[in-house]
Amino acid sequence: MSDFQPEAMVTRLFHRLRREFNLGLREYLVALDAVQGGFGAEDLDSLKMVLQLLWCHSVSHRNQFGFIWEEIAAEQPKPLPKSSEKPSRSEETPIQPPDPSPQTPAPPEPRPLPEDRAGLKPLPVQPPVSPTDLDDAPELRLYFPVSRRAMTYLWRYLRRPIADGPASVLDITATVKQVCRQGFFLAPVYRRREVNRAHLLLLIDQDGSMTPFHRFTRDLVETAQTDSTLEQVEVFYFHNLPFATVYQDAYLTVPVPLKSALASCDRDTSVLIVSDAGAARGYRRMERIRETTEFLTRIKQQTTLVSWLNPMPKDRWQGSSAEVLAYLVPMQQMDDDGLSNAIDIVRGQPLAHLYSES
Amino acid sequence: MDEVTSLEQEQIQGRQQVERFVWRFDPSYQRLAYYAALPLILTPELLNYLRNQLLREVRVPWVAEVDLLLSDLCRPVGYEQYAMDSGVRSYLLSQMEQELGKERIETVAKLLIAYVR
Repeated sequence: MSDFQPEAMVTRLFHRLRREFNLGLREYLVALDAVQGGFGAEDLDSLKMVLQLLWCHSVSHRNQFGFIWEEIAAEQPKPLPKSSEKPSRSEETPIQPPDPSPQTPAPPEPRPLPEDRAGLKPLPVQPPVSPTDLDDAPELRLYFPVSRRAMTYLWRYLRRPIADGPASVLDITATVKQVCRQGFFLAPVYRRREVNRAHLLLLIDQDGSMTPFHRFTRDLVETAQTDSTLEQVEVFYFHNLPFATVYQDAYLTVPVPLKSALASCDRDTSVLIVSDAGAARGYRRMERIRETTEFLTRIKQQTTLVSWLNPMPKDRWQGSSAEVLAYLVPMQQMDDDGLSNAIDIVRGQPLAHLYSES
Repeated sequence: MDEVTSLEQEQIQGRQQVERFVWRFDPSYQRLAYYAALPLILTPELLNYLRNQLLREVRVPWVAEVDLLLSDLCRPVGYEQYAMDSGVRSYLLSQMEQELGKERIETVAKLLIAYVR
C-alpha cells in the first residue's frame, strides 16, 4: 500500500504522454484531483482505467497508452504482486526463506522487471498497430491541388496600392529637394501611406456538379474575406449560370438581381468567376455557352479584370462547354499556378509565363 | 425465388455500371469505388478522407472523388450527401470481399466509425 504512489505514476505518465497526446497542465491537474479524490488510488488497474478515461480520446491513443503504461508500470517496484498481495508485502522475508531451498531467494523479484523492460523497449516504435494509428490525424491533408495555405499566400498578390492613408511616411527625397529650393530646413515632407484598395468580386457556381468542390470554394471565400489584406470582397453565388439573379449565401436562398450585384463594379474591380463550366460532367451545351457569353460581355463592359477559375484539370475541359468558354475569358485550372495566374490577371498584370494561353 | 432473381438482376446491373465507370476513367477508380461502397451516405469530405487514408499507395487521382460522386453510381440525397444504388453497392462490396478480404473491410469499417466519432 505504501509503495504504490499513484500521484508519482500520474506525473511520470504525464511527462511521457504530454507531447503525443497533446496534454496540458489542466489534464494533469484533473488526473491528480481524481487520484486524490480516491479514483484510481486503489491499485494499478483502476489508475490505468481512470487515466485512460481522462487522457485517451481515440482508439490509437488507448493502444499507445497501453504500451507506455506497461513500460512505466514495469518500472514500479511492485507492480502486479502488490495489488493481490498487499497484506503479505511485509511478510516478504518470511515467505522467501521457505523457497530458498534451491538457493537464491532475492533474484525472483528483480528479474521480471528488467525482462519486462527489455521486452517493451522496442514497442515505442508505434507502427505495429497499423490500422489504428491512421485515425490519429483526420483533419490533415490537402483536399485539392491548392491548399488553403496557398490561397492565403496568393491573395497577398492581389493589391491595388493607392496613397490614400494618413500622411505619415517621411519622404526624404522631397524633404531634401525642399531644403535645397528654400535654402533652409523648415519642416520634413510627409506623404500619404499606401492602402490596398483592391476590390474583388467573387462569383461562385454552387450545387450540382460543383458540390464536390464546395470545400474548395468555401476555403477560397474564407481566405479572401478573412486571411487577406483585400479591402473589399464581395461574394455572390449562382447555379450553373449567373443569368438574372445571383445569391448572397452559399445555400442559394437570398436572391439578388445581377444588376445590383454588379452595381459596385467599376473598371478597377477584379472579377473572379469560379465554375467548372460543364467540365466536371463533360457536358457541352450551346445554350449555356450562349448565356455565359452574354454574361461575360456584360461584365466586360464594366471591367476588363476578369478571370475564370475552373476546379477541373485542364485536360478535362476538352469537349465540354469549358473548352469554348476558355476562348472568351482567361480560364485557369485550379492549382497553385492556376490561382496565381488568375490573380495576376485580375490585378491587371498580363501573364509573364506561358502557363495558360487559352 | 422472384426476390432472388431481382437481387441478381440488380447486382448484374450494378456490375455493368461499375465496369462502365472504370472503363471511362481509370482502373484505379475501382478501388475508390470499393471503399466508397461501405458507408451508406457519402459526403465529399468522407470520400476525401477514405482516399487519403487508404488509397495513397494506389495513387488514385484527386479528381476521382469528383468523378465518382458525379457518376451514375451515386445519386444526391441531400445537401452535400450522396448515396449509392443498392445493386451497385452490393456488387462492389462482394467484389471487395473477394479481392481484399473481410479483414480489410472490417478495418475500413473501424476507420469509418472513428471518423464519425
